[in-house]
Amino acid sequence: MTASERTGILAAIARTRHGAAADREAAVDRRFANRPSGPRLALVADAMKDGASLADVFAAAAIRSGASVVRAASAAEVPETLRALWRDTGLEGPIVHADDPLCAACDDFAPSHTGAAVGEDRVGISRAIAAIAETGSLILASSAGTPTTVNFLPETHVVLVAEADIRESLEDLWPELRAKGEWPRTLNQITGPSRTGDIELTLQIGVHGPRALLIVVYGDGR
Amino acid sequence: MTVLKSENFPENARAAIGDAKLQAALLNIRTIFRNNRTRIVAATPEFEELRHAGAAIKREAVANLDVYLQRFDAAATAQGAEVHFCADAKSARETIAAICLAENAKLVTKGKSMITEEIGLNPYLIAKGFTPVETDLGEYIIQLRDEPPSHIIAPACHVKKEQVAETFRAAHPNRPADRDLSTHDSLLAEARAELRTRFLAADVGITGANMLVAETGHAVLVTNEGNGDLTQTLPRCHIVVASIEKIVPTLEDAATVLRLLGRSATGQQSSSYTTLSVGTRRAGEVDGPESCHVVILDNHRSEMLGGDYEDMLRCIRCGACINHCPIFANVGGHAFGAVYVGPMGSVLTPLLKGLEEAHYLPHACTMCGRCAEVCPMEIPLPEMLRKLRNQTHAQELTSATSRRGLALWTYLAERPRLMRGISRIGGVVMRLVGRRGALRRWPMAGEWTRFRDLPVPQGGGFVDRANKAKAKG
Ligand code: SF4
Repeated sequence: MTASERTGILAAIARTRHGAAADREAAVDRRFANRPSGPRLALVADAMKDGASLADVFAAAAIRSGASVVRAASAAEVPETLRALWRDTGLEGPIVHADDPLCAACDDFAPSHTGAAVGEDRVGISRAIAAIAETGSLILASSAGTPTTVNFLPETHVVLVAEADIRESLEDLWPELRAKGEWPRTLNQITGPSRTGDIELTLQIGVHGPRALLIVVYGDGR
Repeated sequence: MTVLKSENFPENARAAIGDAKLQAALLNIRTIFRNNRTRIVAATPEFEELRHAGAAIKREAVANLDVYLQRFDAAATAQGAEVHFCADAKSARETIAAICLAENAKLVTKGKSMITEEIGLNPYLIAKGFTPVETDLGEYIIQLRDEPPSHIIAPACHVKKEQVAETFRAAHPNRPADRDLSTHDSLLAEARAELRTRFLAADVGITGANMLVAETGHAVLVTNEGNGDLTQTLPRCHIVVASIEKIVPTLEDAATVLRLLGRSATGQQSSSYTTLSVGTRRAGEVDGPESCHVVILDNHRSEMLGGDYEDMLRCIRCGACINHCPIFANVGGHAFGAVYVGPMGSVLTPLLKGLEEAHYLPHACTMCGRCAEVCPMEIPLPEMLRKLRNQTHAQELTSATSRRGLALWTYLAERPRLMRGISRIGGVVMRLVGRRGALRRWPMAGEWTRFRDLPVPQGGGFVDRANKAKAKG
């Protein structure tokens, strides 16, 4: 592009818009300040009326999306839960995991490493920064210790998430992320395993991303 | 490859209707896509409310589009992205090729992007010596078959699995010739293995974007396969290609649009992967792109602002209108001879490519209204198609006979007494000519009666009957 192309496009748009430029700038400023939310879905609140916890609603939605969910009472129980999950599911390494002691619980089962995932890795273990009950989604953020490739290259993705980090909807999460003052390069909202309908619209699991998504939800021990 | 052209729509459509394989494939659209959407909309009592909210968001985005684009530009640039505004397809192609050249790239992986289809990116990159590889399973299949996509979200929906197997055998000669490719699973496994090596070797990854968030500079990418994420994370350079109307103001707005998109496109609450990315890998990060570019394309969209077709800029490319279109269900996507197909395509193609080339498309519509009913952005598609029809007529792009026919009809419609007299005579004549209650041919409506029988009036028009009824009291 040339600098004049940018100017030209913006000017072509501006010519057709109504109102003075300053007023429209002000309208955009207001939108950014107020950030109105659209309609929220009643489904989470409805489920909780029947006595389910936010974690229960999340787990049910995640299972509907094709993920498996196991629960642990507290962070202290996560390593044992992970090891049991490994054995029960018959997983095989190599492992790549986030730079996080909780994610290292299976290190003696198979060769393992931290850092970016490579093609040979079979299992990726990460920790979500949040989860969304409405859709059963996990939210993962890239950082030095939590590379994004761990979420996509291995066949099996195991994700830990604290009950305390589960939110009803995305709108509950955005203000918390904004408050951190800077964005990670990548935020992944992950809902179930990789899937496609590209051959005859037939649903198939595990195209390019993980074939299996295993979630460990842990409480605060109370 | 034989690429069908919009200007041959009637012949294309006729061939499509006679194509048994295509007809079998189209059956899936009529059932699976429609049922999935119907089911989830029924389970979402807030759906109508969401539609109003979604349309209002895009109205706001379009109302202040230039301001939002500048805010997006500033936010993305601050986080390491380079933003390129491109006026047309040529400028976008050249910009992208220049980036690939600067990256010293050979292999370029691509996530599914209709915009790159619109600008004809792949042939251009190949001519410049790069190797673009489509990684969305459907796009990969049609790239190997050297065909254009036939649906904006299911590009290979016209291909049967036996044809996919043939295509893979031809394209992957190093695999054992006697391997089993008879099942969906075997095809999937082979595609996964083949594309894995490309993901890992790629120098540049190109993806589209479902939204650009003006507030934060995020590109939002929605996929089910995860190919878009491998495409944007593994290579050292990520190029996002998006058109100007992909803007939404805030993350809250993105959340509303996402609720509509998954439900309308595939009947999902949420697609498997929704990725928000902005800029380059941060200090200390060990993966993600070291350079990141956002190419923002106009290509005639700014000309749609302020006129009869501005509403089209709310389109989120969900495909619901296509899935519910009776014309698409019968002729498939290729007959439209364009990148965008079905109702949204019949509006967009004339606006992007000119009415001369696409004059048949606004007429490829029964005015059933289903598309507008299901559109999550409340886009009045039939109304716009009608306006485009008027334009084809005014520009004399319709046949002279049908224009004379319509002129005669207009003359009569404006003179009710004359019309009544003539239609009484007409009814009598038709009863004389038509056998068994149907007319097989009718002057000046040859195209129409070639495939349809015109029912013969069974005596007395509406006005006659109404008068008789009145007389009876
Ligand atoms: S016109 Fe409406 S229904 Fe059709 S693709 Fe666009 S948003 Fe979806």
